[in-house]
Amino acid sequence: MLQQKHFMHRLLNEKIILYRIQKGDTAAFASVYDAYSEAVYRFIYLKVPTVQDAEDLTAETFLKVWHYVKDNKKVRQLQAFLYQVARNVVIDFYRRRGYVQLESIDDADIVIADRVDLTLEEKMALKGEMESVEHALRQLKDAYREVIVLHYLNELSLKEIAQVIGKNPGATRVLLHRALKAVKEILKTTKQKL
Amino acid sequence: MNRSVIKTIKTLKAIKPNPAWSASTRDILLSQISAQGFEAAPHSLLGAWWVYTSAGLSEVYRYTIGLLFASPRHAFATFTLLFGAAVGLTYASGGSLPGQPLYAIKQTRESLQVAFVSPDERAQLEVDLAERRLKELKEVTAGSLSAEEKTAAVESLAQAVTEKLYQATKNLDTIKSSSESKKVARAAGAITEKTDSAKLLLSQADTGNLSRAQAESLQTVELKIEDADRKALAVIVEKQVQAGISEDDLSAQLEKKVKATEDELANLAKKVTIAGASPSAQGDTSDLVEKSDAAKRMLSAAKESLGKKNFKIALEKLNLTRDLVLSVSASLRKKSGDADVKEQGLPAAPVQGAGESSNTE
Repeated sequence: MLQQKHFMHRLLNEKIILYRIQKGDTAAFASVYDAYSEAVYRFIYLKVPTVQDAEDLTAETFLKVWHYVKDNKKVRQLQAFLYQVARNVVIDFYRRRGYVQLESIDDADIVIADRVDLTLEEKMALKGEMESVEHALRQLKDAYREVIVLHYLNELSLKEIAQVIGKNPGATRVLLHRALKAVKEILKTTKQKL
Repeated sequence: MNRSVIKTIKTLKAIKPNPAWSASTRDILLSQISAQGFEAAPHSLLGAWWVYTSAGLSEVYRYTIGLLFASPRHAFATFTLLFGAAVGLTYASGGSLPGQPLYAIKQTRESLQVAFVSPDERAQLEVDLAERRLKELKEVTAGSLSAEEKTAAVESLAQAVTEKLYQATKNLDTIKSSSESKKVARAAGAITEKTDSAKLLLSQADTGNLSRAQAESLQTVELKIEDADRKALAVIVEKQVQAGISEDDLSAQLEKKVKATEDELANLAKKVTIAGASPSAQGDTSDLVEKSDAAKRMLSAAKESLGKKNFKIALEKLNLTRDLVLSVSASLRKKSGDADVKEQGLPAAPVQGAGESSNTE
């Protein structure tokens, strides 16, 4: 219900879900978790140093969303709100811990999808590619990394990303273009070093 | 160059949380929320309508009507006319079937029903809707649609029933830990009643001319109904004491299931005998006879446990009996299907075991 591609349909379904959560409907909240936990986790994962941090902050995000909605505070769009809360949760995390250099996670739990179509060598190559692009994303500044993750990994439209980051769609498009350029540069430099 | 970079970036879509962590976090969050004592407030249909309409309309207005009308007054007048037409159409959509123009309205109306019913009633509603889909399936298979229309309708209905039953059992899992035992037991009781009627409707659907793929979809539906029934019964047995269900009432409920299984087994035994005698039967049916006999013995053991009020053990034995019944049923279907395809010179399909489903969640 929440993963409808059609924008208007998803919007109206979000209104229903928000109403149900305000009424204390835990099943409605469970459906939000089911629909968005993977995407929120992925968003947070690429912003924090460890898998444990990503897990803790994802759980914290959903709990905060529950409390906020249940307290009848206004939420205009659920998806955008989830990502806004996730962003704030990460900011608070770094405030508590002090600045931490975001390096690649050595024990990164990158799950290679069960690609029975790939040979072992191909899977190793894919894993290498994923580690290299993850390394590149972690070197980006946060604003660039956010738009890349939201657009290419979590499939948000420019308009939806604009709502999350508080910019207009035009500025978001420019940001995404610059982010992509930055990723290309890093990948190129990395390739040259090898 | 951009395309290859984007393709590389998209490989990170494989980043997912550990499934075990995700499931346990879900449970923990729901328990925390329930422990904080948030009681579901009663759903007021009028309140819900107002929230939905005022919030939804503001978005609709912004993106559609606001672009067309000079003022909200004009928009309101038009909306009132459209609303009247919508109410009429909603009533007219009640008897529509898949493929018909008003079916989409029927589906929207049902989505709204699910949205506004309380969590404790949602499981029952989902099963009611599954039953409705099965009635439509019966009508579609008996009706005069073209083969293509029938194929599309059967597939979409089978999928819808599977989805509704999945939602019903998922909902039951969710309210199990957060709602009063009485309400949970009531929801579970409603599900078991409906699953009996669902099985009956499925058996009445005319599946004679369906393709193998469609027959397999319906087999999946059968397994899903079975799954929903078992989960609901398990909840009733678990919650019996807290929900204040008397031993006699619980006995009566389980006896009903035992009786239904007994009838099914008797029917199956006849079919096994006929299959054994049939010249077109594929191979020996002695394995089916053995399984049927084992099922009868298991069912007797279930009755004995029920007589001693060992409800949990009685239910376990009943479930084992049903596994055997489903296995015999699937094998019989395969044998008769293979007999058909042998006549047509086609390769046979593999047997689907009891407890397995062609669609795993």
